[in-house]
Amino acid sequence: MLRYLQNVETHISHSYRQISTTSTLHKNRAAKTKSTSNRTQLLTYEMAQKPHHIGVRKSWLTWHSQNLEEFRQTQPLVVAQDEVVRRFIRGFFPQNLVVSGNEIVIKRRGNVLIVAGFLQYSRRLDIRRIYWMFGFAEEFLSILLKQPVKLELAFVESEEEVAYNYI
Amino acid sequence: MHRLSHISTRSRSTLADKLRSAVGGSDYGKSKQALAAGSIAAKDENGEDFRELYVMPKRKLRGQIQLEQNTGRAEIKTRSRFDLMDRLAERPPRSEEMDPEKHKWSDVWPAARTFAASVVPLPVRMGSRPNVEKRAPFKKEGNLELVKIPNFLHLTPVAIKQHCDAIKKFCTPFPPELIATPSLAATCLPISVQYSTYIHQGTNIRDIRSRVVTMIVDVESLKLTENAQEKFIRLAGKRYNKESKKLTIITDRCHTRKQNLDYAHYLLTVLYHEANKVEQWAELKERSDNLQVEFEGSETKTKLVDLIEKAKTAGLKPDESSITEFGEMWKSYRNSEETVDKTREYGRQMKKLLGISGNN
Repeated sequence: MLRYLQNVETHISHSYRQISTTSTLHKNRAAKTKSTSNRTQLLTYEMAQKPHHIGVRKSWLTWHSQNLEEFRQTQPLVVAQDEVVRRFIRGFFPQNLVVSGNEIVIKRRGNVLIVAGFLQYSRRLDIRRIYWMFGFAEEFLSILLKQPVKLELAFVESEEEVAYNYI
Repeated sequence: MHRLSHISTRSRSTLADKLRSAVGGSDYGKSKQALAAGSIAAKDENGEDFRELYVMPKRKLRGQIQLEQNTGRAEIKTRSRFDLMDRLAERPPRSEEMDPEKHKWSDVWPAARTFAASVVPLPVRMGSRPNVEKRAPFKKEGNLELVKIPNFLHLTPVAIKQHCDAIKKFCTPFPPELIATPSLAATCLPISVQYSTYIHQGTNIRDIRSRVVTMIVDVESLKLTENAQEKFIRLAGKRYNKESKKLTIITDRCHTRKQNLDYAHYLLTVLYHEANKVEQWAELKERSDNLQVEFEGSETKTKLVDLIEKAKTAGLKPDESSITEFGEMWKSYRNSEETVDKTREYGRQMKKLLGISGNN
């Protein structure tokens, strides 16, 4: 016992700081998809891309000139507008969303904002209602963002249409 | 009036009956009694109504119906979809319906638009696959990659030709003389104006840099007198280019391009008229005030003339006619940076002038 205590004492007296350089064993990594046993997990093309494809094949979901050098006049405003539009579309077409509305393309041409992407009608197909909702969304967003907004959302029958792969 | 009518409709309801009877109390439950008497005419020995014990509702519950349907004791009623009419109205995609040879594509796709798989009758695929031989790239329908990229389906050669034909009546042909002789542009069009237009995307499409105007003027074509031109050059300062003999005015102090262009024209006008003015003190100008050293009237010239005279008397054969040529060389030699070549040229010209032949 005494010997042990002595040992501790010497250990404390010789203690020093150090940085651990061993790599941590993280099995789960961000943006890496995990496969299911019966291959039922739907992946769109966007989801199937690996993290190192970000900015190359992935993440071209917004198109405008405010990212360019010497053209950054209102870049923060554009980012905020994008978020407003995405949230509105997600909330306004809850039954028609594909992959929970994560893949909506926003393009800007002049002062026009164009929302493109896919919606599905497997749950309910009500053509008149959809026309009305498109009109409402365009009008609402145009007034909100003070610029013309056009919806160019295309309809697919169901979510399986956009499936690139199943894992 | 509205409220009254409302009450009158209410008064016919059973709830109103109940309330009325609760207040009055006399004929409460009469209708119910009559109903009971109609359905079950059972009375006990005292002559009172047989009151049923409530165990469960008389209709079949949902679970019971489902149980019967599953065991085959009841038939399953199939109902059509609630959105059947809309689904029947669904048409095959336009790309399959349309006849590409009869339809004009510029009518189908008149302006810039996001790619629509149902409209474009092209068998396109887009996206990468790890092994394309095994599995083809992603199909046309539901392909977000095709939606993302800008397309030029509205800019087919036919559509462009159509567009050009439509706006042709507003255009005038470019002067053929200017195409034939490009040097003519410098004399016919002495003023050139340059500006940049910036295209932005977003709420604000303006750019402050587009206000800047650059005006380049050929000074020779202003036809100034020698004195006026010198004054003009002195006033212009760094804006005048000696080599090309051009004046460059850059204006950016006003807010719009038009204002800046007007201002540039104003500056040129002012400069021209100011250069043509002759002040009293301008007459006091001496030879040393010149912008460049001149050969005419210089001491070198008098000395040279003297020297030629002396050379003649000495029996040499000086080349008198080449004195103007020497003068030009001398002027450029004095007014620019000295180089080895220029110094050699000076020596050569001098020998020629004095008629000294020989190998250097």
